Amino acid sequence: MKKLLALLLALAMVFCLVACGGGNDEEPETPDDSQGETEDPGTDDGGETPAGEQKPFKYGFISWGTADEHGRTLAAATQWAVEAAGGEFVMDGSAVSAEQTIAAAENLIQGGCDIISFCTYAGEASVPQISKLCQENEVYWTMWDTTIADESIQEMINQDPYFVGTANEDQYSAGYDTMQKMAEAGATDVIVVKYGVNIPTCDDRCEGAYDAAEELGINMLYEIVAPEDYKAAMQNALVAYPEANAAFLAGSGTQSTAVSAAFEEAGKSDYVIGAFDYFDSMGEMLQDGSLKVINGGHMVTGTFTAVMGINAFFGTPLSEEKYSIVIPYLTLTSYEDYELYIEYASEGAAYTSEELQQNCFPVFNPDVTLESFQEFVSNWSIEDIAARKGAEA
Amino acid sequence: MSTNTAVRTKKSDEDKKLAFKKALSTAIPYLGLLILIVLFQILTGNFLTASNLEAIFDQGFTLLIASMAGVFVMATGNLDFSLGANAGFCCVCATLAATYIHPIASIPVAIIVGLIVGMVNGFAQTVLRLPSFIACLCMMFILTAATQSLITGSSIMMPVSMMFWETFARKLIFGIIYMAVMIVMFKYTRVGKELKTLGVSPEAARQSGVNVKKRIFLAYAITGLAAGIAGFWFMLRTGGAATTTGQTTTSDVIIAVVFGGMSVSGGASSKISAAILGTLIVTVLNNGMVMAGFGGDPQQLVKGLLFLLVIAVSTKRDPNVIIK
Amino acid sequence: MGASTPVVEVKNIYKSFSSTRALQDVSLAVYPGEVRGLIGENGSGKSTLSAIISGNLKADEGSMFLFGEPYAPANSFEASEKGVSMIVQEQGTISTVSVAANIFAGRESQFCKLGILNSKKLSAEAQKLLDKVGVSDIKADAPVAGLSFEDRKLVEIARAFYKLPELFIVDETTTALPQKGRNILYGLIKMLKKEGKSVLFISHDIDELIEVCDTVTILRDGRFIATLEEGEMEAKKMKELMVGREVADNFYRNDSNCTCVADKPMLTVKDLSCGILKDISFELKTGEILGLAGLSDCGIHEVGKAIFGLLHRESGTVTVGDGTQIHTPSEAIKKRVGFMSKNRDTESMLISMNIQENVVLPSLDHLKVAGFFIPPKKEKELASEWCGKLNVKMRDLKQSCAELSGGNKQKIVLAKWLGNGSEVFILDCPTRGIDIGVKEAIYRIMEDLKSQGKSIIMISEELPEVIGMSDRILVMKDGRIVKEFDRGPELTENSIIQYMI
Repeated sequence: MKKLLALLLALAMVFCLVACGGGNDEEPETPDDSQGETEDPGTDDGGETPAGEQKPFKYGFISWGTADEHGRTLAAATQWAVEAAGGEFVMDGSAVSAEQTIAAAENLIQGGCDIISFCTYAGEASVPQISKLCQENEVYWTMWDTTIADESIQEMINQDPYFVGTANEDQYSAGYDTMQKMAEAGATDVIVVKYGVNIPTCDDRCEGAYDAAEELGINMLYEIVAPEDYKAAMQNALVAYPEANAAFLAGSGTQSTAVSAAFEEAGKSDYVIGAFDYFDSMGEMLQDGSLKVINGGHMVTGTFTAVMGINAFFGTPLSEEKYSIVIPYLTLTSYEDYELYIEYASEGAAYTSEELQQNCFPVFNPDVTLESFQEFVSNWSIEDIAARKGAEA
Repeated sequence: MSTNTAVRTKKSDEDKKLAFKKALSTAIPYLGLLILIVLFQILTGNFLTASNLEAIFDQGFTLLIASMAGVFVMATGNLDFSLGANAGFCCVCATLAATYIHPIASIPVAIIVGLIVGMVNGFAQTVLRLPSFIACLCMMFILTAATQSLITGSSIMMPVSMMFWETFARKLIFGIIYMAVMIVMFKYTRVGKELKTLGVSPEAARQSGVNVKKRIFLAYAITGLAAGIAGFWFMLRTGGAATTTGQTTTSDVIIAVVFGGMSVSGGASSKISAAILGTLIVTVLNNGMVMAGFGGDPQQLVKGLLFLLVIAVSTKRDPNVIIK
Repeated sequence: MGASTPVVEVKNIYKSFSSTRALQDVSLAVYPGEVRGLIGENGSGKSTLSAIISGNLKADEGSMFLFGEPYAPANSFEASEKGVSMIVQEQGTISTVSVAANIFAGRESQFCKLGILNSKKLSAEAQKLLDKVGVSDIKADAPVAGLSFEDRKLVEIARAFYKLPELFIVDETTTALPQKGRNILYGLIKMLKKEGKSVLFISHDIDELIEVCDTVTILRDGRFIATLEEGEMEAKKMKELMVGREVADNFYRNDSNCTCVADKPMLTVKDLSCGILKDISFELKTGEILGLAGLSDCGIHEVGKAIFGLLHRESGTVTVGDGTQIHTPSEAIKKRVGFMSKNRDTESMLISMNIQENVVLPSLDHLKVAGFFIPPKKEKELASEWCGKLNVKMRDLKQSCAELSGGNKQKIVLAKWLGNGSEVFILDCPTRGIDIGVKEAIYRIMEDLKSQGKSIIMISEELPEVIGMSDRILVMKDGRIVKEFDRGPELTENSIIQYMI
């Protein structure tokens, strides 16, 4: 008896969760300016399907979950675009491994999704499988934060009519710009900290940084690679290179606290730290000056890949070819920047539905082209947010 | 000594009630599965379609392979923490073999590598007398490191020609044969029966003639072998090997087996059906939740809550004071 | 006896556990200065009753009185404050602390000042108690974990005598106590009686009860049957009242002389040394029941294990009838040797598995078809055959062994070895903690096996049993065999005890 009751209770719980879950799903918003057909074959570039229209859709988002800040903001940011276009947002947050990514794709498609997007953090070998799956089910798909390394895979997906494209950050430029900003803040002798071996993202950022350093006459003293204990590694480096007054962290921004501690204990007070990947205490560190530059806030890759996929689904693709969008990081250099980030990007919506409709979707604004879209994307920065929200940058 | 047949005590009302309770508790996983299926069909309308059922089959296939073998080890009261890492490692080896030797070589390579790893686990525990927890955990770290060193970047691909190896028919046939072998081995052979006794009391088993060391060694060899097979199928499914392959398999197996009605400490409650049922329940749950529109946070929450519930309900509480 | 107000009186006690009725309408009264025995088979309710009186359980219905006043202790601690204390069969000490801490567990506040414990005083008082009880060689500061089972029991006794109890309940404690402990207990009982206090003494051992108690109450199936006075206390009558029917005169064996079927040795042990065992050598003949007697730590239990291959041997050999040596349990089993451990629930059977699984376990190889497959039907047949022959009381073969009574569990273990076609049986304490009725049944089974030419080594600490059943008796002391006796009518316990201590 007890066991039966317990089981019924569990199912009642599941039922409740379903009811709640259903309520939280995005209600298809009817946009204010209800555009219907865009019957203008001339305005879009490269003459594609003339009859593009806004229609209801389900958007499937695959990731590792929303327990961490990045995962949470990614999902939220994707929803901005889905809402703006009047669709339903569905998510599968259980994709930790490669096989789970495939399973997530399957499940979302079975659940009726018309468009899906994912990332290859679990391995890109599964991309052909997903491509095959989407072709069979006529589902459009995009990838965020992904560059395909293997040529044969790239070739394969280029043949897939349902593959729309990717959105990525420009790691090289970000690294370059960060080093520049660090120089402005007084960095002259830098220790570089890599978080992994042979990771393209990490290496690209460093390449940009090294190039900037060369041009600006900054000394890149030493490279720490994938340390177990960041603080200890930094301390050792400072012993070997006592003239160091700056550290460039190509990722794992959260280790800035450890690096900062190492500097402090070595008796330094005027050091410059530049890092990638937001972390919890970055606000305080920006405020007290121990952190000068931090890059993150690239959750909009979710937003813009959604835009790409949705446009294809609406019949108004921004290009006949596969295309990639480059997305800037949100570079924070002060506590005010941090506050803006928290208010508008982390907790609120950085873009309103109107802003997205006007700048991303031909069905709402026939003047939107691939170029205008890329330009719009390139404006993503803390200053831009401040300007649009009417606050101080 | 009389030669009558055993004296059966009269089946009183209490006995009937007890029998009903027992039947109910074994039926719970089946009931649970049925309810889930009905629930999701109502919620989504297209749960019971051929394509979705095929998706469920595809997703549960490798878990089924791993958990059926997992039952053998868990029946002895041990856990194989290296199971997932082993599957991932075998996946890498299979992919490398397919790429550099010949696609067909991936099969024997995966199986042999998996088997060797399993035997090393068994050796560590029986000859070196390391506690199972430590031995398997160490093996897991070693394998994970080995996997990562063999994979440059985040994943390696299998030869494109192998993309068409994976067909529903082949998996079904393999699955049926595999299940049959595992079921027979667990329920109807000396090996399976003796493994169960180890989970109850190794000393009592020893006193009835069970060679404890040999059996434990065998149990780990079996899971190693299964991990190898699973690794091969992982490769076909995901198109190669990734550093994340098999990462969640170990815990997935434990959760599936518990949902299927078996206790983590093994022993008398061990049944091979737990692997099959549990795999179905877990896969259906995952698939259904996403289809019904709440993937993401609710997924983990519900899974975790149900897991706690199942454990709480199935843990035996001490009976009342024994009457003397 | 004679004072009109009983120390403790219980009236119309009812107690059930879910569907099982443990006690039905039981009433009894114990008077000051009386040593009352309480006896009954398993399931008679005697332990339930003592648990209720000592405050560990609450009755469903009925009332209790202490010196005429209503008595309803909330727990055993309260009961002992009121003068009713109990010691039990299982371990009742906390192994992680000292003897003194155990003795005064729950009563430390008398040694505390401002929340700080005066451990010196605690120790001193504890030692006083230990001396009072007669076990001064146990030191109050000693950690309990280092003490033997017997010594721990003595610590429990000292604890119970913190205040001289009005009613001292001894629940089957003597079964597991060696002689020294038992004597101390008997001494305390005598002392209590002299002081006009009472004792409720529960035991399976009829002879012990007759010797120690003034009166005896018999329970059966949860009901009060009778209280026998001094003159009426007689073993056969008590047995009959316990079982509810007539019990045969020849409890053990019909014959009083040794009758072996043949001289051919079924088992030969030579120069076996292993741990405390030193140079053990003997032969077991066909159709012989060989008894092994000795104190509990003299090695008799180890002999059984060593022969069966469960212990690591330092030297010596064990040879079976056809001349081959056996070293491991599997070899022994292949050669048709069976071993029943004295730890029934934890070693000789898999208690949470069902009857069938237990019975077929060593015989799995014989049931194989096509080299690997074991048909359930064959398992069922084997288990059914032997459980039937041994008359096991069970619901069906799939019943969990945990639900069986002690006697039936032993039958399952025997069925297991019989199912394997065993010729040699090593039985360690085969009737410990078993009802009279089933004890008898087991003796009959042993006799039957003997008549079929099977051989039995019977290891037991119950001398009457050893004397009653064995053809030959080997007495052990300090790991060696020191004396051999043949079966005969003049053999007495005393003659054997001499060699044991």
